[in-house]
Amino acid sequence: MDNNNRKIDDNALNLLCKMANISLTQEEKDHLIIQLNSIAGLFDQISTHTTKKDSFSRRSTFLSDDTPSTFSNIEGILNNVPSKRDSSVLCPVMKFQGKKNEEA
Amino acid sequence: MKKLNSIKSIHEAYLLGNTTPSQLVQECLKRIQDQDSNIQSFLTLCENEAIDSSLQLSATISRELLQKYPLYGIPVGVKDNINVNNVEMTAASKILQNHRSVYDATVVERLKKKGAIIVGKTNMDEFAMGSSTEFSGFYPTKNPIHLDYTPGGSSGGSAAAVKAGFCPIALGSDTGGSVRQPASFCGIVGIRPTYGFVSRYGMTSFCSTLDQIGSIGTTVDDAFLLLQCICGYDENDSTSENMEWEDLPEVPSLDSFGILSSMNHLQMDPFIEKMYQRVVQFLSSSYKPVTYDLNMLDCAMATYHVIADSEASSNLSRFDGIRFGQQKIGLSSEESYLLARTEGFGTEVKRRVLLGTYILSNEFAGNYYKQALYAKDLVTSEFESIFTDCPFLVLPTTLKMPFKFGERKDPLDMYYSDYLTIPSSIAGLPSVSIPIGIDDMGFSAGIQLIGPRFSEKLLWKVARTIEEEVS
Repeated sequence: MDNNNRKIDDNALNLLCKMANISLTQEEKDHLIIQLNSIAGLFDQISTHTTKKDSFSRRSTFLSDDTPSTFSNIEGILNNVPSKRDSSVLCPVMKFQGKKNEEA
Repeated sequence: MKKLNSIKSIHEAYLLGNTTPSQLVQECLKRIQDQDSNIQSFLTLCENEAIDSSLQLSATISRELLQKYPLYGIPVGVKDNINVNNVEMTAASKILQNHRSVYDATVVERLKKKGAIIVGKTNMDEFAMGSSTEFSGFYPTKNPIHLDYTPGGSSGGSAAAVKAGFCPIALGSDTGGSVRQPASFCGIVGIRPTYGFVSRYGMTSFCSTLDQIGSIGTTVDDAFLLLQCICGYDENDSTSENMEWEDLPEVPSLDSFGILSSMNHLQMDPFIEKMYQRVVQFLSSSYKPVTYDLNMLDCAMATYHVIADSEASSNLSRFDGIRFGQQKIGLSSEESYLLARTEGFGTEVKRRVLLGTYILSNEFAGNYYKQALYAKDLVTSEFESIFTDCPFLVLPTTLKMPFKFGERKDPLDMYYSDYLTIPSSIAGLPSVSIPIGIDDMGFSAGIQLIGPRFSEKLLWKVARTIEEEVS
């Protein structure tokens, strides 16, 4: 999906506010629309550095091309069993310990 | 009342019997009471807890204990997004006003085990979103060097407290530069460790992909000693790496260092440029300088904001006025959430949450987040490539010197404060900012050293040499 031409207008901001559970005055909205579009304009810089041809290639092949041993504990992870492998070479999800952290 | 600025000088004073932890804590608290009404670096003081701990430590002090516990009797400030048991924790947001922590963050637990005394919680930009501490939900922190200048942010309270001599060391958190930039603005040392080296259990999440707890001190040794005391594996943090300080690679023999070629267009402040050249010249006398391109530098800031704002909108969705902090009563639960979040969040937080919601909503922004994750990989790859034949990089911490309150009204101007600290954050690399020189206003330029993952020992060695020879 092309990121261009997706400006944030009054309707879009209303919808975003509803999704984010935030209420704004009309004055705040007018001010924010200018700022948000200005910042969002910056985001298109990313696509100029990530060409369409190779876009996502590294990330999308990350799982499939990695050595099988790296993901040997996948069943264990799905069952919340801690991996015993050296964590320094694994992606963070491999170290999930199944502990809950519900506090702020 | 003489300021005891470094851990070494405090421990020497303890050994000589010139002071005790109890006396020192009383002096620190008095100094805060006398002077912090101007600087506003603290949000909460832990007076009773600090005095109790210091009395216990004074009663048992000995040479052996001072050697065994590197932070024995050392007052520490803790950024207000880190939990200290039974102490208010607001992350400088009104939505969390009066929220009391029910447990110690892992880093706080480790500090207490090493003999540190928590004197208070330091001010910050609300939920760590900002670069000036102007966006605290309560009051801005002033730069102790000049009170009409900001101390940087978001860990501005921690940096200002250390600079003002309220405590010799403090904890901050660094997502895109929030430890290094305020350290640079206040003329002290700030470290962002390797991603995963310090546990974030008990820290309020802003951007989980990038958040790291970092250390701040007046000297390179103090900042690294603090890091040494808080780092290491923690089973409560799923991103924690299985790495202890003792396991870090030893410092290799150094023959070169890296500098970036593509900085001419960045309109760096002349004083920072001068100090940067001074450091490069000094290092060049011992090591060969090698120039590298960082092609992704220009899009790193956009990458950072897409990732950070998206994750902020998700992480902050838990703050609804029901489970934590301020509760607002509406006619329905939806109205209660709306009231709590509208009244509880400040301008910058609302701006970022709305941007994050925009980025993550397919209807509006499509694949920004995926593109940003890909760009993050590219930034990491560029650094990896550089570090295959160069042990560390040197570059300024900021492009501009400290600015006055209200000077950066445009959010984009403010975001550019982190232009040079963001790339290493995105790549999860360790970095230390050290102050170099003093300009006519009394401010220093911050120069940062960046190394490959887990190169903290190397950075310590080089930073100490620069501190001794150039600072």
